[in-house]
Amino acid sequence: MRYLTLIIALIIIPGAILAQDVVVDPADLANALDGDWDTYSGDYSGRRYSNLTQVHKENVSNLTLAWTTEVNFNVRRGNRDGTGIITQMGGEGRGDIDITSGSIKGSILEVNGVLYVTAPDHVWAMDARDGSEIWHYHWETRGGTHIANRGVAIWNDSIIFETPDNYLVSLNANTGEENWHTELASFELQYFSTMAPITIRDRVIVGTGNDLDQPGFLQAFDAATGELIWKFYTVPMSEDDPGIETWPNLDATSHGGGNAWVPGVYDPETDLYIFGTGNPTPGYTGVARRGDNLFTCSLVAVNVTTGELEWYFQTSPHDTHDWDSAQTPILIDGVIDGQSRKLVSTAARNGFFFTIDRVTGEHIVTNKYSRTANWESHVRETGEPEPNPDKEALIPGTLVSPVEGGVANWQPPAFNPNTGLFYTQENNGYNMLYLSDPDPRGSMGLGGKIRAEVGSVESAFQAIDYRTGEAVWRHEWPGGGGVNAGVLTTATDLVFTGDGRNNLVAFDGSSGDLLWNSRIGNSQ
Amino acid sequence: MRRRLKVLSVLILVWTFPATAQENQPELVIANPNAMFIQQQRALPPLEVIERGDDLYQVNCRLCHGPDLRGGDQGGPNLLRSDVVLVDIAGEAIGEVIVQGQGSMPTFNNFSNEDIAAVAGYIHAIKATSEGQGSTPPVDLELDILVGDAAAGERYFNQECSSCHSVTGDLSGISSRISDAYILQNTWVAGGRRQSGRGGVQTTATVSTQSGETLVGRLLRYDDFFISLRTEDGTYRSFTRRGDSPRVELDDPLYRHRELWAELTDSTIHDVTAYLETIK
Repeated sequence: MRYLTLIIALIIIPGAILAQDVVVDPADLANALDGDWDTYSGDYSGRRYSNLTQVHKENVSNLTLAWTTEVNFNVRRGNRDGTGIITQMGGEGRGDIDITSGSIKGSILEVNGVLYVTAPDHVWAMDARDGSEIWHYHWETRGGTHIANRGVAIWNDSIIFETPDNYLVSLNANTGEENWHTELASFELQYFSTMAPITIRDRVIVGTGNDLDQPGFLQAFDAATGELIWKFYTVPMSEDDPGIETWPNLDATSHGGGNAWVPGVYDPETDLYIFGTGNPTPGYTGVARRGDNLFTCSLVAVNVTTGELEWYFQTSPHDTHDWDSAQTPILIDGVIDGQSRKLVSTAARNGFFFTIDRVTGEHIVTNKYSRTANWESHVRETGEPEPNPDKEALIPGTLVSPVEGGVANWQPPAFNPNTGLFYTQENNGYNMLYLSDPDPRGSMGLGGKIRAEVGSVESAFQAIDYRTGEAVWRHEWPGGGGVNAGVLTTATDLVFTGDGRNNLVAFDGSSGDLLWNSRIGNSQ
Repeated sequence: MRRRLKVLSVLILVWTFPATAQENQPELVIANPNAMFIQQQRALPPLEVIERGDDLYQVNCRLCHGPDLRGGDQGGPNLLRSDVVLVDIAGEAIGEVIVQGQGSMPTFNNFSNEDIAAVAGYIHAIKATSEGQGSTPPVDLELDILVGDAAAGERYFNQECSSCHSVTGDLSGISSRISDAYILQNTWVAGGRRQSGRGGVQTTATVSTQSGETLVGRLLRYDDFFISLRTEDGTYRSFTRRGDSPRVELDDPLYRHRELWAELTDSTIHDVTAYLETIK
């Protein structure tokens, strides 16, 4: 597939005429979300809550398709008369790996009427009014896993993004010309980078992915120069590191995964960047990594100035199902037992919802939001679900829920402070899991198992009370199947998401009534 | 020995990629430009060098690093995920560890440069056979999944399944028709080879319109805003849905199976599979 169709059904462009000088002051990212969408989650909170009120429950049914455009992956050299798109080229590859297709699987940013759209090795700037291309940048890759790119960051007048072969690249936001690039992880160790960077003050926070048993880490680079400021490993890398007691030995922990591949959130009051970590590795065979495997599958708070761990809460101790906890959490200023609290909530891939005190890391709520998840034996007094070893991949087969993709995956949830509800997808299905490599040394990566799909029981969309983890309303998607779509909510209490059946839909965020749909094509 | 021969046959497959440089070159040459990982992109030395590396490995390295390079009884680390192996191109990094030792690994001063290049070539050749998502090279084991109690499975079947199924009717000769026990187990738990689509178990939809029309047919597509079906006479019909209008009732023959998944224990699954395995 050489072209992709990008469809924008809902465009709310600020009144300003298209400006050619894009400048996003990093200080603005801490403000509530209004006209522009200038960081992965719109603002630092992860709420995906827009303050715009122009579209509301009475007029949402009038929304119609504004335009569609085909995203052009080709390298173009402009027209003879000096017009047309000239693809800006970069990269450390030899130009012999053909990456001229891909899919858009990230957040599209919007600033001053310009959209910034990505696929692996590609960035496009487009006019938000009609989808026409303003510039195109193509990175010639060295290879690596080309699964996705989750979007760009904007810092002053530069665009910063990751490449699958582990470069952090800065472009001029107005022209697409490259400012600099720097290597952020080892290509030889089979890291691959997909995360949308998050800019905070003078620095850019980046994470990476890996499937070959390498340790996860989060890094801060100087947003102006690309110089490394700090590097935080998500697993212990020496005998003195915290969490080492939850691993059998240093070889296991230093090959233990926990990759930071989905953007987290930032609390300016405490200067904490709070993010979810990936699954431990080897993914399905935990035999050589007995223990809880900190800080994999955890909510982790890191001080942005120092890069040091402030607190953690493990949402999935000793995972053996590839259910990372990388899902973007949400900062909630809420009330618990009559007391105002600074909270953070997450709906994890393993089917459990958690609310944590985001200042101290104190556990407040654990509740299973999946109707079928069957992998835990009980919830510990400290709030972590305890894995049932009988639901690991075993030679004669185990019937496990959820499926590999989880109850929810990386697609972001939303929170609306008016309704007090956390909106997430809920996918309930089963797999049979067989252990195919019972070697006591454990397998590697995601190997060592055979997975057979059994089926979907149901898929639903939930509005969860962050104080209890219980659904206040729940909409079952007709026909089952997996539904993975991100969520947006507004000051008018609308909730937008995809239904997994080619519809973009709007709910009444309070009641769960469906108010509108548009059959825009693949919406997840 | 059987395993070693198998490894060599895999090596030959790797070796026959087109565009592979035939000389024993020190510099990086792209062996397979379509490969996504550098360990698969790099050229390998000639087969006789790899075979010599294999011999050297078995004598000097196997005890600690294992016959499959994944670590051995003497505590040597897994070479297939080792930083040294992953960054090495043609023995320069691996050779340093061989000659100088590392941690509890002794020095091997007797290794010549040719020996180092050969062992490195052998390690890289095995590494190049690793499968995607960080997996090991293929592990080919015959694992017996038939651990259940067939008599207990029969009792469960008679109690819970026999209202819809019969081993003399629809399931007659089931284990002859599905001879692979994995597939047999996956199929009966799921409730059929495919849950939907051609040849699979079909959901029947009954659509009652406000004008009083009632249509019955095979469900095609269904969401909150739309339903389409093919009626028994082959007619395609579709309707826009608003709330409960038109009224839709679905008859999903797998409904009971979907309920069962929450109830079934793994030992019951194994028992029923063992029972069905006896239905030849």
